[in-house]
Amino acid sequence: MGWLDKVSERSTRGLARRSSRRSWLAGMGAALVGGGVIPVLPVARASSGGQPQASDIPDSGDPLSCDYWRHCAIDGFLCGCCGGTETSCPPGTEMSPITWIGTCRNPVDGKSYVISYNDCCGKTACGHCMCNRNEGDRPMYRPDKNNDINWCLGTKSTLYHCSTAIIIGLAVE
Amino acid sequence: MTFVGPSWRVCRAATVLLTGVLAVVAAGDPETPLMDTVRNVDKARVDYMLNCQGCHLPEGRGIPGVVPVMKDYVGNFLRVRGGREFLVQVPGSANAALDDAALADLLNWVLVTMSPEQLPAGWVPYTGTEVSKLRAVPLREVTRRRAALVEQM
Amino acid sequence: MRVMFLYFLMGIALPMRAALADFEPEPLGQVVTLPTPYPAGWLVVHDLAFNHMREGRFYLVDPDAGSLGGQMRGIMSGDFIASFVTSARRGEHYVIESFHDRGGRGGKRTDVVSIYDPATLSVLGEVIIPAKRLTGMPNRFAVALLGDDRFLAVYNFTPAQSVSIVDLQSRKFVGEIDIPGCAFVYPTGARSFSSLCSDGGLLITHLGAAGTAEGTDRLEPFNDVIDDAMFEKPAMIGGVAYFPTFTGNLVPVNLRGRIAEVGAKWSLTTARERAAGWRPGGAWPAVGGEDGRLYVLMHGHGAEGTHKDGGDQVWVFDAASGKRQQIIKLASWGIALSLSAGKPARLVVTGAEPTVDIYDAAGGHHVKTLAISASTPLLVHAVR
Ligand code: HEC
Repeated sequence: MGWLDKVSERSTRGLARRSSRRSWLAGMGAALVGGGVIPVLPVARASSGGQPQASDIPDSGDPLSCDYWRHCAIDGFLCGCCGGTETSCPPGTEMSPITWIGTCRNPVDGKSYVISYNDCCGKTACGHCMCNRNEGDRPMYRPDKNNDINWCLGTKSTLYHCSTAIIIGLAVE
Repeated sequence: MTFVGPSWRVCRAATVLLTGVLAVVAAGDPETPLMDTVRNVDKARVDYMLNCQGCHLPEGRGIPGVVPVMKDYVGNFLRVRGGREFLVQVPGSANAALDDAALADLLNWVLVTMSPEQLPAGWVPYTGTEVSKLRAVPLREVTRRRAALVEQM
Repeated sequence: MRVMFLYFLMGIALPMRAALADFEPEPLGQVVTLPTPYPAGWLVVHDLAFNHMREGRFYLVDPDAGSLGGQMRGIMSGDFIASFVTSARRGEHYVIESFHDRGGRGGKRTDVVSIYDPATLSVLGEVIIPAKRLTGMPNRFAVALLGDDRFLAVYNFTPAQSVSIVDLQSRKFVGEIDIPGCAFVYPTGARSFSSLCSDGGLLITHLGAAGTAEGTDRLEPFNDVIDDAMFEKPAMIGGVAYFPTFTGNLVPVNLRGRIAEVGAKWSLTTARERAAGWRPGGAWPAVGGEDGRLYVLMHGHGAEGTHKDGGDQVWVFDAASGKRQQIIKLASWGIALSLSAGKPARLVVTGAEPTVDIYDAAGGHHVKTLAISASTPLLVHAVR
């Protein structure tokens, strides 16, 4: 099944998805995310060959949408909705060096990439684009695989603001 | 997967290359090329990212006082009695969702890429069998154990 | 002039003076005191206020009252995703919270155990603990009362893992105990606690009479942390923790003795239900009553990643036999389960809307949706 089918299936499948915590939290005044998915057609970027660069990765989807592929296990406010982007923190916040790292499958090239979900810290909660997806998430006794933890650790302040999803590598099978 | 490798002593005596299913273990001196010590460098690098880097940071940079700095340091543990065991028994290593051979490879990769200068001459890379035995005995107390080891350095 | 004024006073002002003397003004400065112990069935609803989490709240609620005014009995604050635990024995509530001294822009963090008087909901005292407590989605076992409620244990994550012990009698911080590779505090035996470890095993830490660590025990890995992980959120029935697993099994762990004992794992689902993807899930997927009934929040079409989705059904089991007794179809999608200590017992379902829904635990029918408006309610605690 193609990824487009999967995404649209997920968005129409009913309560199991629509009522997950992402919409539960998002419904409370924040912009609703993951409601109607408007898939952006895959745009393959030029690949330089050899060692893959993050900038070469064929990408598709809306980074402000909860359904964007690299958000497959994110939990929190999407930094793109807070003045930052999916890879950078909003002005005046500090990116947590400590985090957890998982993998998400890129629907365009079918490859799994290693995603680092660094939180941005030092300001009160962003409050926009709450998103919670849990593919590969494990309970809190497995901290290397858990998104329920406030990962604002090792930062000047532990105040949680928003979350990024940074591609740091290609997973080996 | 079981790993039947050369004993440490054989290792120390000469660089032994085991070709075949289960690749290569080499006597590590800091000069030994990475590939001779780590059987699958790409896998070790990604295993580090997925299992350790979240806390230990890229290149084992750590954060003093929060997560120990492994860069230019972790090799020192192989210079003190009990340090070799400690590196496997610390919960991040022992409890990792990796089989024994993969954990041995990862630890060797950590040592040679992050702290080559601190490794003692003729140090012996970890094997899956050794890791298997050590990780079965978890540490009860890390903070004090580490302090005692650091004191010896 | 003067006489006229006197007449005037006598004729008009005197009756007025009498009226003023009769008038009983409403007294100023009144503050409500609550009846303690509270009537059975009262609840504390944790609104973690996710969008502005420095201002979380704990609402003391009488679910039997009809209107908002009757339901809302008082509020405690809980800064930065606080934890709550209450001790009927000590007659105190505890809020474990974190303050940032520059508010919304951070600053120095101080972690505090705030000790509340249940009758006045005012703070009787506080104990400052190391600023290391786990902050994250609330978990009932991030804190625990141990040793006949003499000690409070708080789980720390920095990411080094440890537990802070507070002596509630002297209101003093006792010390910190390492629990390397393990998480949470599940009260065990008389004065011990268990923690779930990342290798799938269990660490049991024993406290001495003064609250310091006096040895540990370990259980070999029994939790399939990769393929069928146990939720870290068990239902407690009579000292046994019932841990649902991601794919729909149940692992009972007996915490009554000094050393925890793992019981036989059983399936919550039939092969057919499993094939249809029926799985437990949610922010708190299971609760249990002292009558032995185990309530599990279930969703269909489950798959990798659906374990926090919650569900639209609650399956009720006899915990001892594993027999399913009932299926409760929820009025609206549920995220977390709680159970009141009242008679009749109420099943409390935190809903996705967000709502806090009250069900009759025995019959399973929807009694009401609480009138309180919480922005992100999650866990609900039974209080006395
Ligand atoms: C959740 C965070 C976390 C993860 C994930 C993690 N560690 Fe650690 N690690 C720590 C902390 C914290 C310490 C300090 C000791 C302690 O309190 O456990 C440590 C200590 C160590 C040490 C001892 C170094 C010293 O100087 O004391 C080694 C070696 C180590 N970890 C290896 C690993 C390896 C290998 C992995 C991945 C397989 C890993 N860790 C994953 C947090 C983590």
